[in-house]
Parts: sequence; C-alpha cells; structure tokens
Amino acid sequence: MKAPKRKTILLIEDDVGIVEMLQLVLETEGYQVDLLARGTVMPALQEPFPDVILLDLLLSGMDGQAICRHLKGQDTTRPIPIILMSANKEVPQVAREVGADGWLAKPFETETLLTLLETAAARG
Amino acid sequence: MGADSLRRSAPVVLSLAALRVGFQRREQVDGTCWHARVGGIYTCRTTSRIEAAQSDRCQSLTRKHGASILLPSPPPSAAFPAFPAISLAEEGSLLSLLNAWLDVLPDALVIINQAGQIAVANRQLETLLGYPRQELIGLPLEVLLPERFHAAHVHHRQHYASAPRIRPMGAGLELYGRRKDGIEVPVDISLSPLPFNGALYVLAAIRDVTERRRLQAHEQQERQESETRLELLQLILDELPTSVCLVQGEEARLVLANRAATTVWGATWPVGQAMRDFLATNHIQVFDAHGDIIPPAAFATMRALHHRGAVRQYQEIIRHPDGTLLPVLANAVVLGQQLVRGVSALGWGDDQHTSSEEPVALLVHQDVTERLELERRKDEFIGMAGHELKTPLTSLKLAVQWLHRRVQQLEDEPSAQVLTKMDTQLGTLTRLINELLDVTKMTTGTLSWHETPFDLDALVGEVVEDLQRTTDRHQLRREGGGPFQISADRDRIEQVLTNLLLNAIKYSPQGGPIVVKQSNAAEQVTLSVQDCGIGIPAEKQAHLFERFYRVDHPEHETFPGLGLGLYLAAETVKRQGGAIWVDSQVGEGSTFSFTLPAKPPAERGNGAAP
Repeated sequence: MKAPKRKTILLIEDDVGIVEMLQLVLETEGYQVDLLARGTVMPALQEPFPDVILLDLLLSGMDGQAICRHLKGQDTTRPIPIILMSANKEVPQVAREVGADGWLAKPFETETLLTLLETAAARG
Repeated sequence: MGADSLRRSAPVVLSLAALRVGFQRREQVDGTCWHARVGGIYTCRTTSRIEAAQSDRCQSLTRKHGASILLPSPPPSAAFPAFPAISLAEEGSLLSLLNAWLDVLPDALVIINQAGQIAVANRQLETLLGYPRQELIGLPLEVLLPERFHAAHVHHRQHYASAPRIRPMGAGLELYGRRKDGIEVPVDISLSPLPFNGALYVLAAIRDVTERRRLQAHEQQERQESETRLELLQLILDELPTSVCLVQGEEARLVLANRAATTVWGATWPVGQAMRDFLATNHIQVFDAHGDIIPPAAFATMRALHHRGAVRQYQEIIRHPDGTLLPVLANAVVLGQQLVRGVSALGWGDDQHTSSEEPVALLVHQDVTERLELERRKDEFIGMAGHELKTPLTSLKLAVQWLHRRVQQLEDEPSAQVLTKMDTQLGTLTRLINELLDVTKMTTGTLSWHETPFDLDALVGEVVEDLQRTTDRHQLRREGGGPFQISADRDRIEQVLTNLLLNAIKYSPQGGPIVVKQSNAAEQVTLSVQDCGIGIPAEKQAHLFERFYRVDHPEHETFPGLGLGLYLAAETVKRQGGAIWVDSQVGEGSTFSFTLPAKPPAERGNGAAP
C-alpha cells in the first residue's frame, strides 16, 4: 500500500531566516515545502496545486494582498487555502478583506502555525 | 491831547513823558497821590508809605484793583544803588515783607534797568546761577548768559523795550543761563515790564528747566524706542508663517492681522468684519480632524470668546475658496481686561463698536501641513520598523521551539528548560516591541481600534490561564465573573489585562496570590487585579499612567519594561469610556481597578465640541 502522499505547502516569504526555519519545522512535521522562485512577478501556479499556501503580506517586488486576491479570484486556484503572515497587527482585517483562510501575526507560536496548517490542509 | 493839555499841571506833562516810554495811565486820585496802572498793576506813585498817605480814593482804587506795589523812588543819578542796599527794612514792615516775598518765590527773579543792568536779584537767582547777589548788582544782564547769546540779547532787550508786555521770552527757543562756574543751565524766562519812577524796568522770572528738558528728551527717546519696537514687532508678525489675528467682540470682528493670515485663510480678512461674514463671503469652510464640518459656534475662536477662556491646539482643516485644504492647529486666547483697555487705547479696531466690555481674543492658526507629512512618514517608518524587528524574532521563535521539541524528545530536561526560558524572553521582547509601536501610533492618533462584540468573561479566563503558566510562585485566581457581552477592541482589552497581570507578577517578587475580581453591572463591568507585592509609594501613584513613567525602586532589582504598559492601558480604558485607578500601600501590595462600559462612547464628529 502506498504511503499517504505528503501534504505540500507553498511558502511565499522573503526573509531567508524565516524560510529556513519554516522549512525545518514543517518538514519535521511531515510536510513538503515548496518555495516560490525569486523574482516571479505573479505566481503562475501550475498543477499540481499545493495543499496550502503560506503567504507573507509584505514582500519586496510583489504585493501579498494582490497575490491573494488574484488567487482567490480564479476558479482554479480559489479552493487552495491561503494563510497570511504579517508583522502588522492589522492582519486579521486584511485577511478578511482579501478572502484568506487564516492568518498569523509574526512572531507566532509554532503550535498555532501547525494547528492552522493542519486544519487548512485537511479541508483540501 | 492838544496844546491845551500841555498847559495843564505838571503831572500831565509827566504823564505824556510816561506815555513815551510805554503805555501807562496816570491818574491823579486827589491832591495827595498819583496812581499809575501798568498792565493791570495799580501803583500808587506818590507816597512811599502807603498807610500814611492812603486817601479814601486811593484806598478804594487799591481795593478795586488789588494790591499796590510800592517801590521806593531811586535817586535820578546814573549811579545805581542796589535795591537791597537801601535797606528795605528801614522803610517799614511792608517793604521787608516785599523783600522776603521776592526771596521766597520759587522762581529766580532779576530786575534790570533800561541800561540792561541788574538792579534786583532774588535769592533763587543766587542759587540758580551761583552768584552772590551783591556781585550782580550793576552788572549787565548779559553776564548771566552764555557768550554766544550776548549780541542777540542786546537786540532782544531793545526790541522788548519798544513793545513791553508780559510775555515769555524767546518762545520756541532754547534759552540758557550761565552759572558763575561756567556751566550752562537750560531755562524758561518770562518778562514783565516794570515802570518805575519814569523809567522802564524789566522783571524777568527765570525757571530752571533742566529737569523738564531731560524728561522731554527722555519721553522723546521712549517714544522713538516704542515706535521702533512696534515696527520690529510688526515686521516679525508679518514674517511669521503662522496666522496671527486680533479679534473683538463675540462675533470676532477683526482688529488686526498679519500677512500670513491671508495665506492661511485663503482670503484677506477686512478689518472690522465679523468672522462668520468673512468666511461666508469667501466660501471658506472649516472642518474638524475627522473631516466633518464644524458649525461656527463650535469654532475654537467662538468657543474661546463665548467662555472668555482659551482653546489651544485644536485641529481644524480650513477649506479655501479654491478648494485647497489646509490642516491647522487653532489657538484662541481671550485677553485679560488690562490688555483689552490697552487695545482700545491704541486706537486699533473700529471705533463705533469699541467697548472695553467686549472680549478681545488673539487667534493663532498654525499651518501643520508639514507636521502631518512628517507624521505620515513617521508612521510609514514605524510600519517598516515593526516589520524589520519582528522578522528575526519570527525565525528565532520557530528555532527555539523546534529545539525545545527535539530536546524533550531526547529527554534532555536541562536543555529543555533553558529553551523554555529563551522562549519566554522572546515573548517579552515581542511584547515590548508591540508596546513601543503601539504607543508611537497612539501619539500620532493612528492607533487602530477595531470594535467587535465578545464575551469579556471568557477573555479574562483565557488571560488568567495564559499568565498562570508563566509563574509558579504566584497563584492567580478569579473572583466574581459571569458572562458579559462587550463591544470593544478585543486585542486592546486583552493587552490591558495582560499588562496588569504581568505587573502584578513582576512587582510581587516573593510570589503570593493574585486575585482578579470581576463584577458585572447592567451597562459596565468593573475589573481589578490585586497583588500582595511591594506596593507603590503615594507620591508616585499620581504619575503611574503617564507615558514612560517607571517607579524606581532602588532597593529592588530593575524590572524590565518600557514604562508604557500602564499608559497604553489607561488610553485603552479611556477610549472605551471607562476609568482606571490604583490603590496601593508600600509593602502591602497594589490593586489596579478599571471599569469598561459595554459599549464605547459615540464617536466624535457629530457636532459635539471636544
């Protein structure tokens, strides 16, 4: 019997330190972490889609809010759960506005992160 | 007069002779005396002893015209005895009285004869010019003048003799006398003709005007200084970029304005026009900081005038006739009564309405466009700074918690404990950064406030549970409680509770119980956090809720914190419309209490003047 496929998380985050730690933490949990290639103006997601997207709001070169709106605006990508991350405490409001499925205020507890991801990935 | 008159008795001839000298009227009273009247002075010429010779007619004339002055007749020779030398005392009490009277007069007096020689000098002249009078008698008057006036003075004397009358000398000129020691004295001089025994003497009353001239010069100087100062102030006023206006009356009529007023208001305000009319005519509108229009009665200016007080730093936005918006800080200060009188006295303002009963106010409207721009940039920076600070914290936290998990799995308890401590510190760091960012936003008025309905009771339970986990020396417990629906910013209220509990833990280092009491009422809830810690001295309690205030306890260790927690708590509670206060005793503990209405007060901007 084939082992259950690992859930994939697409990580869209600028800071190297955060990326490295998130990768470590999430892979330890059993997820597969994909990173967005640098310099991509608007992520042209292709099949197979990730199970969850972790998206930082403040990015250089890309507008996190716009990405979220775009993805939620397209029928193909709308079902993908998106969790926003931000240092800004207003992130709950923004998440609501752009149709995100969850939010994390940096710096967040690992437990919070994992719980959110589990819930989101289970949906998909 | 004709040849007939010439044939009359001698007195008439004398009379004619007298007429040649100047005008005087001789009148034979009766057989005993002759009276002469010169310029209103009636003199009995005939006798030297008025008492003895006074006839009825003489008496009646004397009574009618006032006192007569009796002068002894001088011998006709050119050699001229000094008056005092005649020893008036010999002549009787009246003459000695006369002498005394001359000396008592406050003015210096000198009498000169037709040759311009000094015949009489009183005591004041001695004092004024420093000559003993004996020296002066017989000397030409010119000795008492500075040399440069001598020649002209001779002319003056002759001129006077041709038309003698009582008058000041040299009107408009600056006259000087010269003292014996050569020092010049500024003087005023008045002259009176003094006919006597057929000759015309001149009485000069001399007054020392040094003091008067000095005061005049001083006044002149002060006036000039005053004018210069006013000019300077006007210049400064006009150079100020801030609008400065002076208005009068409850309708705020303009008294004066500086140049910047036109720039700030967007139109020129004519003197005398009421503020309302000025704004209406020029289609200028005023809004408050929220963008709602302010009715004239609520203008800072009008409020200050109405209450005879001051309104300061009130944010208004002036909309110019061309549509540009100018954010300003308005200050309106009503002047005290003394200044109001001064304004009226200066003749400023419109005369027809000027009344010292009306309030006068100084309006200063400061253009704050630049300041707001700076604040906007600061906010932007703060946003960036927040992000920058929290980024490394994010990965740190992930790393510490990952390590903790791992060492626990490896059953390395000591390492796990260390990592727990690290995690706690990271939490503290995060909290401090948030406090700093929040308070900066708060002072620039951009602190977010997101109202949501929630159960306060549940929140209190959560916070107490969370914080109990951070300490094993303290026992956190709750009293009272029960569901309480509240509409407020949940995060902020959570912050308040967290702060108070953290403080309770921090400031009771020995440990002990910490009680969170909750009492629900219909429209509001009262919460208190009580500890048995070190307490707060009475004099520090007043400042507790101020920004950056930290109570120093030199005998205890320093507690980490920025001194912002209580400030933020107070601001949050106030925002909700509640109150916060403290009861504390040094050595016994503190109780921080606050009330929270179920709903915050209605937002401003609906016409309610702050």
